[in-house]
Amino acid sequence: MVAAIRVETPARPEAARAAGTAGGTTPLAVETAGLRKEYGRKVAVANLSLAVPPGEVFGFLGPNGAGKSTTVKMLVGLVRPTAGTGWLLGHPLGDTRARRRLGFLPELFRFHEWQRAEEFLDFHASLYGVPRAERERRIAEVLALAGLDARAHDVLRTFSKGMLQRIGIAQALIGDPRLVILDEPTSALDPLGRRDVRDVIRRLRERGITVFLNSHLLSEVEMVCDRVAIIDRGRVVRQGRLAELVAGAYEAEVHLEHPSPALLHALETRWPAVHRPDTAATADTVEGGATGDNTLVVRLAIQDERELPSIAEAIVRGGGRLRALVPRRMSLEDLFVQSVETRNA
Amino acid sequence: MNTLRIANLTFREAVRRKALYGAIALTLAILAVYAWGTGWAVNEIYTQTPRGAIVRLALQSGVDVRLLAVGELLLAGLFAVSNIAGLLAIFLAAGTIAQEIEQGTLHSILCKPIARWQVVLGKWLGGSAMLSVYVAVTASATVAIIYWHAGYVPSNLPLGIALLTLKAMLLFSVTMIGSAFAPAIATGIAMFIVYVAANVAGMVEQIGVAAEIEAMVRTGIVASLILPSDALWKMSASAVQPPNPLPALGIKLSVGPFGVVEPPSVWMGVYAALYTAAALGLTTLIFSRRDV
Ligand SMILES: Nc1ncnc2c1ncn2[C@@H]1O[C@H](COP(=O)(O)OP(=O)(O)OP(=O)(O)O)[C@@H](O)[C@H]1O
Ligand SMILES: [Mg+2]
Repeated sequence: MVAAIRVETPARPEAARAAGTAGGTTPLAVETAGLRKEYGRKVAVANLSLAVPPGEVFGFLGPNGAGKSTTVKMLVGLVRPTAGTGWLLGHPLGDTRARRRLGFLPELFRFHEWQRAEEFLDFHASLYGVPRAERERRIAEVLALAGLDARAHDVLRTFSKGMLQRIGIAQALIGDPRLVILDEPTSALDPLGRRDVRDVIRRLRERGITVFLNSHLLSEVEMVCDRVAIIDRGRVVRQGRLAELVAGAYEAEVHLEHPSPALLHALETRWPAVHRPDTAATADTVEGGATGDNTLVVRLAIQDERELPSIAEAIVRGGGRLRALVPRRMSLEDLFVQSVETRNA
Repeated sequence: MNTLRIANLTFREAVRRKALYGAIALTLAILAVYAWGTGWAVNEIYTQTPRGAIVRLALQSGVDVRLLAVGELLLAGLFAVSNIAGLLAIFLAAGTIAQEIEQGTLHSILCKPIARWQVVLGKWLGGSAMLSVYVAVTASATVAIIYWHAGYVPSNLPLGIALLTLKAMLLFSVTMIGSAFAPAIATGIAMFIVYVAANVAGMVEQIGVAAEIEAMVRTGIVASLILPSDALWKMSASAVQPPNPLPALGIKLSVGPFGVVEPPSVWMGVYAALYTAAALGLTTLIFSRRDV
């Protein structure tokens, strides 16, 4: 049976093309070509083409309803594409072999709650075909990774929402995956839990495991992702290496105490303002931690960090009182908002 | 292997969530009442002079009326077991795929290297195992009660129980078809209606046989082709009831409301088994195309 499938659906030759890896034999971790999903007349995902090189952390971003979950459901075989195809680790979508080395945390993490944590993981390990002898070690390992060692014998019904999400992550890692797809893995987690998940993701990358991360928590994505794609209404609007997407776009965040209009004008003629509140003491001043004391935060576009001394000099010369001068890359949030808003305009 | 894992999961879920225990416990409670009533009835049958015109007529023709009465008591108990098992099958199967999709518990299973047919077959095997336990326990208890009170042992008990189990498995697989695309409640209600209709059609057939009205008989046969659940009950009843003396007298009547005059042929059993397999195939076909 399995042998027959193997003959019928050979791995895609193009997928064998190297994605920056030596040898040229490692297939892309995820590749899609014109993937599309319609629900009735509603197009949830429109002709999506993605390429995720192996060993990278890939951030898949988009506003609510953009089609992120629908896309990953098509990748893992829960939803049938209306059109288009894709490959996971070189195997066509829908092929059970594509899912042998795949770990998936669903957006809706609901499990059989009558199972004990270790029993639940044992069951999922068995679905991956992990030999019985090895399961115990694996279970202990992923429980520790998910920070649930103490709850191994507890029934899932007694778990809190965040703990269920953690066991969901453990479940995604139990089969020794080469590719891990996480659909909003931190939606129910506390700040410590979020940091834990970031650590897990980094550790996976160290081991060469590809992580496909669905999220709209941009700060989180910014911290761990090598590459991102931003989708909106089912279409990719940006795709590329994170560093390149936000490169060349530096800005200086300038915190000024009671700046005179003349000074502001002088600054903004030399460095275009990326963002300036109309009046002093708006919400932006809170950002700098100086609440309600008339500190104004101006964000100026600069080429690189070598311009910072000139800004300081200009402020001092203009009689301004400088509280803070922080260089920033253009944030992913800026990129995100810009990409999505441009489309909606 | 994955199929058996799903079967095991389904079975254990029923045990752990106490669905199976509850059903068995409640049925045993009913059977306790049954045992009490049967004791009374058997006592009356064996110690008092039978009254009633038909019974006197039968006694004159040398028929063992007492044995027939005991047989009828047994069939009454098994009729209850058969119908409870049937409804249990319907309501368990109605939720088996639909609810798991609704709750999302299938998401983390279907993304594993497992095929949809394995999930369908596994769930059916798990459900069937559960129903087998139920039928075996409750039918055996019924037979034991009759044996205890009246000393009657059915001629072919294993076949009778096997056919009751097949009936439950059949209903489970047919209901799974609905569960693969419709909400649990809709499927449950629809199958309940179909099941009752099939039972009624079976009665119509019995009456048709007795009154020798061909159209009624044909109606019943068509109904058993549409859903052979009542046919399986009739085959099962005929395997456990005492020999019916009436046909020999030229009367095509069963002994009581639960008995059978002309049991369906063995081919109906084969048909029911194929029907069950086909229902599983159709469930797989529908479920494989379904978005989860
Ligand atoms: N089963 C369904 N039936 C009909 N429409 C659906 C279904 N699932 C999703 N959609 C629609 O498809 C679009 C994409 O939904 P999807 O869940 O993929 O978004 P998302 O990017 O994951 O959003 P979120 O950030 O809120 O999780 C939405 O407009 C949604 O309404
Ligand atoms: Mg989503």
